[in-house]
Amino acid sequence: MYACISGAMQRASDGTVRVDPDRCVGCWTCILACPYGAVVGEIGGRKVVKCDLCSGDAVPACVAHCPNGALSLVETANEPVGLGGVAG
Amino acid sequence: MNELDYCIIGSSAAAAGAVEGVRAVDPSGTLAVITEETVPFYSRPLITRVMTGAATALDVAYRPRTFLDENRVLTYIGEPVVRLDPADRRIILASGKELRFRKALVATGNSPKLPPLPGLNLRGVHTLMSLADAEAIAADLGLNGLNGPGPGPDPRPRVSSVVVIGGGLIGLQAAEALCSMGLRVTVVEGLARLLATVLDQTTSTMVADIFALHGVTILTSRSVKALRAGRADPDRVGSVVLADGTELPADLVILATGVRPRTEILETATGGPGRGFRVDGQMATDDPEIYAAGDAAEVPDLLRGGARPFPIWPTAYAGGRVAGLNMAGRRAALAGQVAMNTFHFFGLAMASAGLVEPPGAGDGGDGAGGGGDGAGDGGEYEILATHRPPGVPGRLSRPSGPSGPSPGETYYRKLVLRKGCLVGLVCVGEAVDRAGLAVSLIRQGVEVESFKEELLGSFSLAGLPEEIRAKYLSGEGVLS
Repeated sequence: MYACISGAMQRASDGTVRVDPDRCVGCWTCILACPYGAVVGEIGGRKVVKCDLCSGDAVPACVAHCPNGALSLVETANEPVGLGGVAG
Repeated sequence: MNELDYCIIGSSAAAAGAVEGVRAVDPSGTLAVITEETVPFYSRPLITRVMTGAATALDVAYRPRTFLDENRVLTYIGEPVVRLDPADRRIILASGKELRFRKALVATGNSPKLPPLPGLNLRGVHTLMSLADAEAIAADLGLNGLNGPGPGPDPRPRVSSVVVIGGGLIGLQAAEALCSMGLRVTVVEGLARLLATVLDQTTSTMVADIFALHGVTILTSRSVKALRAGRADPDRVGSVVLADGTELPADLVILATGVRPRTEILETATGGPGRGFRVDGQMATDDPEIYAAGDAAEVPDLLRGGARPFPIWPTAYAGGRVAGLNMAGRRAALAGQVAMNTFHFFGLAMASAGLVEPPGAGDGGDGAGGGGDGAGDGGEYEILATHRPPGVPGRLSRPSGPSGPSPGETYYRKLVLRKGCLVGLVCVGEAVDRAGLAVSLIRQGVEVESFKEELLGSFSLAGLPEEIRAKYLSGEGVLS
């Protein structure tokens, strides 16, 4: 989120990182900054899209409907330490 | 007056990071932002939209209007700072006010580096660094904000020809925007190619091609000798004269020939004349109560060693945040930085990070962000690239519609490896997707030798070797 030049990408109170499409200017700095490669450009457009874990649902649809039960939603103890390493 | 706990000079990315860093630790200490800007906390990269009348100052706000209140920020807006007096812990403002501080952050950014040319003071000659610059250009173009032209005859000259001096990011963004308004635009660049500090030769050529396709004249390896007044008005620019004598008509000139750190309020804290502020890992200057961040600060360079300014938004925010956390008493450090830039020209997406050419290679391009070391140790480097459609490097297919080539038509990804580790990246079109994963492999110094070919395609976390994937999934040590 540190990379967002318009303020469109923020961490919500539930911990998910979300992008406000009304504020996204399509600069794609977040695509370069996301260490997980989780942000992509929208097809046929300039804004960015990323998984919001089906915000509002207790369990994301992909986890709920995986026919093999291979997906699960887990929280990690380690938070990424921030762009450029805001460590310590 | 009473001593303020925290004084932040500046109101862009580093200052916002510092406000949020301070408040993450200390919710109640007195915090002031002092800025010469009349609109604080706008997004500087977006001012081109204000220049063309496509957006207002409000539209390019970086933080919501509630930001200052929610963070309990005292503001000194439209207040230039004359001097920071380290010994007395005072900030002296041009208005005569004086502020006493316990801890201060200097986040003064850059100012345009102006070439020593006759005619710089003519009307119609502009820089493009601030909201005020963008608004001045909009006024010169006869745009009256979003309200349309005012009543009565418009005394401003009708602008039809524009010369942009400088083929870097600011110059080219201005050129694209002005071209899209229907103006005749010429870009004059002194180096042999465009964007020499952020792109490799192949992608520089792509950029030149796409501008040419849209009717922008690109002149490289050409220097400007003078700006000359027009016949109609001796005070207003009418043409740009090149060193070879060529005279280009110009009703409007944009100067985009580089930047220099603004350090004049605390010159003693710099690395020397023309240099940025010298800071430690916590962003403190030699004086432990005075910090510096943003474009004016020299921060550690992960790939080249040493320290230099990284004039990019993410580094400014991160450095400001580190400074804010430390100022409020929570220890934090800024990791070594990697240059990264992403931009679109006429619908074509591009991104680069790290060293875009091995040091010493190329013709003027010495890696993203400049500052080549010229070590000539090319043997340690390996370059891999994939380019679609195949053919002449840099050649773009003709646009199928008025909007130019669709981003899907061109795919280019180049990787620069040093001793088996990824150190540089250039992407065009869909190759930009997930580039952040590659940037983080650079940041973390991951050995990529065994899966380097994978990184040329549409790679993702799922395609990386198990032990690397496991590290990402746990989040352990991942620098985001």
